[in-house]
Amino acid sequence: MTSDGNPAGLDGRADGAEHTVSDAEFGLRKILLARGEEIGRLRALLAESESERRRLADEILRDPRTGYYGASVFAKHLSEAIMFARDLGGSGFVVAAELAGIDSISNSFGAASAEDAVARAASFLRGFFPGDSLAFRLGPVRFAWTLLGSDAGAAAGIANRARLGLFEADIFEAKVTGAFAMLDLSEFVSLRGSPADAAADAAERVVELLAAARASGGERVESGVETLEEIGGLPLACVVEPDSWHAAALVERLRANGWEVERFADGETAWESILRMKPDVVISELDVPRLDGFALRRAMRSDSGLHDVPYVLVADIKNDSAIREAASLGILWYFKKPYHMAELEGVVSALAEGIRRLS
Amino acid sequence: MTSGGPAIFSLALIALDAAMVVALFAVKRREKKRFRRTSAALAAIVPPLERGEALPGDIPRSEVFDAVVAGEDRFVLSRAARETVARRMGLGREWRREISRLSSGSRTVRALGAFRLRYFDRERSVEALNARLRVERTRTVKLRIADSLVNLGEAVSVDAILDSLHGESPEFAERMVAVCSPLAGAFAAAFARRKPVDESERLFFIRSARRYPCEAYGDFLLAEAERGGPLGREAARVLLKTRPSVLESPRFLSNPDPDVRSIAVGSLGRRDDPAGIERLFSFLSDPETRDAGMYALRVLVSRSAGNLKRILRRFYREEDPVVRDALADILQDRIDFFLYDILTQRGMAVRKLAETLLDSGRPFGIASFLNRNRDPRIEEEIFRSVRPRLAGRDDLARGFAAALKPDVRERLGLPPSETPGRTRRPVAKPEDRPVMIAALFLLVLAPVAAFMLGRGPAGIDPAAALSSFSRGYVSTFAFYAIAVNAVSLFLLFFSTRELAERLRAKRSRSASSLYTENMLPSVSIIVPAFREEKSIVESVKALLNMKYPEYEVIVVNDGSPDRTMETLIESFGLERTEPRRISVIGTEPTLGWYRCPGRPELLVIDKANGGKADALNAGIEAARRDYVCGIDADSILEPDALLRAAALTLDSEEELVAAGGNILPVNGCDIRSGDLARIGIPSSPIAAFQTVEYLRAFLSGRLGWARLKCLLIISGAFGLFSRKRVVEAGGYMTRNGPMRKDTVGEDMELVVRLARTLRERNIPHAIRYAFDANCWTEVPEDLRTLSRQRDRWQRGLLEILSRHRAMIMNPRYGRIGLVGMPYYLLFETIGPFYELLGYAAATVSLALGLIDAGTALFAFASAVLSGVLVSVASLAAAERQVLYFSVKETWKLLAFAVLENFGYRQLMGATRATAYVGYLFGHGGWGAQKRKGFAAGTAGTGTAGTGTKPAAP
Repeated sequence: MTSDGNPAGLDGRADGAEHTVSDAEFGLRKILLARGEEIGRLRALLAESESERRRLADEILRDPRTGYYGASVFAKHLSEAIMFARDLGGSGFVVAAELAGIDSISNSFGAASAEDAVARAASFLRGFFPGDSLAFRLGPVRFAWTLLGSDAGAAAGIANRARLGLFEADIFEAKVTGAFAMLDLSEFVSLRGSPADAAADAAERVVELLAAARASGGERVESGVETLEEIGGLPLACVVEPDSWHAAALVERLRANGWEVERFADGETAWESILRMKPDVVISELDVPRLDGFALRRAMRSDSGLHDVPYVLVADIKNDSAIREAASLGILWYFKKPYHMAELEGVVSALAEGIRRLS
Repeated sequence: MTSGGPAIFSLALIALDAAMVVALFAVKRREKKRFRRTSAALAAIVPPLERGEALPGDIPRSEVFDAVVAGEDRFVLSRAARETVARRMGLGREWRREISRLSSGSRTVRALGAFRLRYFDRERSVEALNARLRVERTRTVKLRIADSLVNLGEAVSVDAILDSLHGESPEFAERMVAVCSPLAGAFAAAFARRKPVDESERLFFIRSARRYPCEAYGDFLLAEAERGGPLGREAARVLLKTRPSVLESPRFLSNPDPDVRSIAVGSLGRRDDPAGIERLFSFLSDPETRDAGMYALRVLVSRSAGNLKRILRRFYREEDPVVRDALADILQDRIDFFLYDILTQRGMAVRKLAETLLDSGRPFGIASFLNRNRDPRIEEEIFRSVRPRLAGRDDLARGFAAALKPDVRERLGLPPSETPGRTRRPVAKPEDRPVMIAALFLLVLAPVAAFMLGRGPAGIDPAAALSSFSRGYVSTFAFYAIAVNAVSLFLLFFSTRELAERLRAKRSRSASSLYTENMLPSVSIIVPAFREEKSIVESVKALLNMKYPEYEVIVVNDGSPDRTMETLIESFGLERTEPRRISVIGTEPTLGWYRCPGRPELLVIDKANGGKADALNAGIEAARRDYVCGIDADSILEPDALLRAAALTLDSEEELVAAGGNILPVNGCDIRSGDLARIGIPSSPIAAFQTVEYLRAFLSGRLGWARLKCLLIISGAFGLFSRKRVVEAGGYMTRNGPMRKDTVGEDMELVVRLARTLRERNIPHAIRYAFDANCWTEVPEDLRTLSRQRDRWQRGLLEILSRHRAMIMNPRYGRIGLVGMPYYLLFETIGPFYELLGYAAATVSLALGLIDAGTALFAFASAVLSGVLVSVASLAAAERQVLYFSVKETWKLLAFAVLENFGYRQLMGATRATAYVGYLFGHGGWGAQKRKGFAAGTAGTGTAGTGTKPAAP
């Protein structure tokens, strides 16, 4: 992390891929939070009337929450979805908001215009997630991510990386990664300020971009993004997975996407090598001989050089207590088997990129 | 006929009508109360559950259960919460009820019981479910049981579940994989122990391996892939997704099974190295692997420009003409990459490439480049290569004329291609006119003849004879009207049964489970568009935001003369892409395929005008998914409509080949950004009548027919079809397709043909109707447009009956032949005539005093009052679907439901009768001028008069 407090790159960059902001006019339709299944909560309030909905929402809001939850929510209006998302409690937040019908945001927030509405939405969201970061994703989505934790850089990285991964659906399962769009949030990483400020900056930038788009009649607005190659060198991932076939599949996929990968079958060898190699990301199974996933994480946390290396846990556990332990160890990313490798790859790449951008 | 009888009869009917109205409001209140009670119970129960506390003791057990069940879709309870509930429920009355449901004779009841057992004591429930699974024969119930077992988290049931796969179809195995995915690890552990032999079980494991790759499956996958066959193909596909590198060995690249070879070739597309590309070229000469090779090359090209250059180099060196042609195909879509260099020193090579493409009949890549090009010198240079070739090549000239923008085209010197101001409209031509005329004749004369015969030759006083004839005729008409409404009531009865079953089926699955991967089939939504520039972007955006796990949207621009295509290109930033033709049916020429970079699920096809059916066929050709869904461009689909229609695949035992949804008038609703903000009754009386009519037709009619397995109509505005079966049947009927003929009623025709061909091939299938999948479309608000629409529908029906007359009363076609088709013939075709005559006769007779009031009353009562009964009953059925009409609106609907029988229905009947005559004699006069807009069932842009249109952003 750099020590100066400048949000990186607010001056914008002219190189890199384009994106269309007119997607913002697609409207807010769903807020999808990813994964969870059994651990997750599915809340679809089908209350008939506004008052009914509010009452139930209040019930939910009054409940304090802790721990990690991933959830899938389909909501028609931003306000509804936020209420649902609030249920995630202190460490969860909504990532992707497809904006469908700026009108509906306007209606929800009594805003005068689309820009105003987006700004209000941003501050509303901030009110709910004071300690957490938030990524606005403008654009259509069918699947999305739950980002946990307070790393706006990570959020930004994911948005970017996923944008790089727009491939044909049936080869790269782009319906997962490709649905992301459109905004380079790395510009908003506040390094010293709270992630909430980053979110606020993001919202302001969104408003700016919207205004620019409207002024230019919806033409494309440039924004910068770096490709992995430009960052310099291939990132290194350490995969700790006893099952050789699964490990090989993961390794193959990561390598095909520009990663250098080292695979380990047991925890101790992994730990020794991680100490030496300082990877960009560590992906570990929980059930690993000679030093399980949690123990490895503890070891990494205690090491000054390794404690902020992104750690992704992959496991087949079902109960809440294991998840709570993971959360208490500061493990923000958890993939329950069976999972989509494309998602894992996307997350991992984004994390690495986010960290690199900050350093 | 005495006066007393008919009077009593009329009073009875009025009483029944009143009772039905009361029932309607009672249903409404009941639903509301139930909802409120459940919400209250939920609010009381859920917070303590989620905090991990005990449940408040004052809430009775039955209410706890009802609340938990009702809240299944609203709140997902944690394991701990589930256990709290189970403890509270114990093994009391509810437990016993669900257990007894497990052994019911009805499959939906068993499914419901299986679903609900997850709320009880884990051990006992698992035991009961396992026991049932061992003897269960029905597929849908097996899936529910497995779902509950997985939900209860019991790895112990793995064997029972796997055993239940034996002898079942591959589709069933796929569903089971989806259901069991949370326990994938346990299944992998069981795999080594099982050593599966049964095909379905092996398929199950192959598909499990895709999401859960592990050592246990490794060798198994390799062995299966090497063996080939359908399972081998599946295994190879899984390998392609998880471990593509292992496919690069000769074991697979030279495998005897051509599909396995193709899939293995696909793996070469993942590696972006020159050696890999060279290898790919070698696979282009083998026809069986050519497509896979080309696809892989295209992927590589999309990754880096360097690969494109390699292909070009190969193109020049290549001697095999077939391979050259394949490479040319790939190059043509990227021709813009090269054409910018045409003025540089590489210009000679580029020109040679362009000319080769032109000579092989590929103008479109060059055309789209010309459209985007801004440099006149480059354009002139390209023209120099194009012009000499235009003279001899008609196809090139036409292709350029169609694809080029007007100014470019003029500069090139080509006349414009005829883009029709109006879309092509098929015209109904009767095939057996003599028969139909004869039938008409008989119809009119039959009663007279019967009377004459009955009377005998003895001379009678003509006045009395006329009087008794009139009485007889009018009475017959009355009985006919009773028969019609009796049939409707009969159907209504079956509708309620079907509705109950559908509701039960819906309650026996959780909404979230529908989003499990592969639970629901993937869908290709096809949107034919003609002259939709104002609303197409809204509609497409709305369609791209459906609540559905996996689908694609294919918009087919049917040669619109307006700016439909341009609007799409601008709004979505479309880029040309390679042609996509998965199946072949035969359509008007397609001019271009376009993709939106940010939205891989959108495909836009530009083609020459051919009519709606033709556009649909073009979409079907390009469709990749399991099911195709035809949607009208100006209809509004509710976000979960597709979900509900596709969920029928989970509820039917046989293969679902067609499913329809509700069509409702959007005229009174509020639309915001292509989204339905508020539903309402249209203010125009004609549209309001149609609302009632549609509700009646769908909720009393189609539901009933679906239950009787005689459903023959799926609306063109929203219909879901199995892609495979539709392609096998030849797509929609058009003159470009295999049937070489056009039809007016293409939607019904497809369903009838599907049913017919599947029956002939003895393939068990299901055609169902989703009562809760709503599609809102504009309906005509003035009489003229309405009668034209009905006229067209009737002609379509007549055409279909005439074309498929072999099916009528033919036991070979089962119920459709013996009941469905005859119904349409008798009541929908001949019926309106008879009705018309009857009304005429009744009025005339009454006026001339030939019949007494009693008979007239009888006729009136039977025709009108029983009609009211059916209409009101349909409204009551609609309430169960929870359409949320307010009380005031319900009264309004009620009023229209009553009123429609006092003129509207009769008018519609008259329209149909005249359509018959028009069909027989006037096709030259009527058909020709009725070409307007596009939509078959709706009024299209600008012809409907007022009515709400989606607001532009």
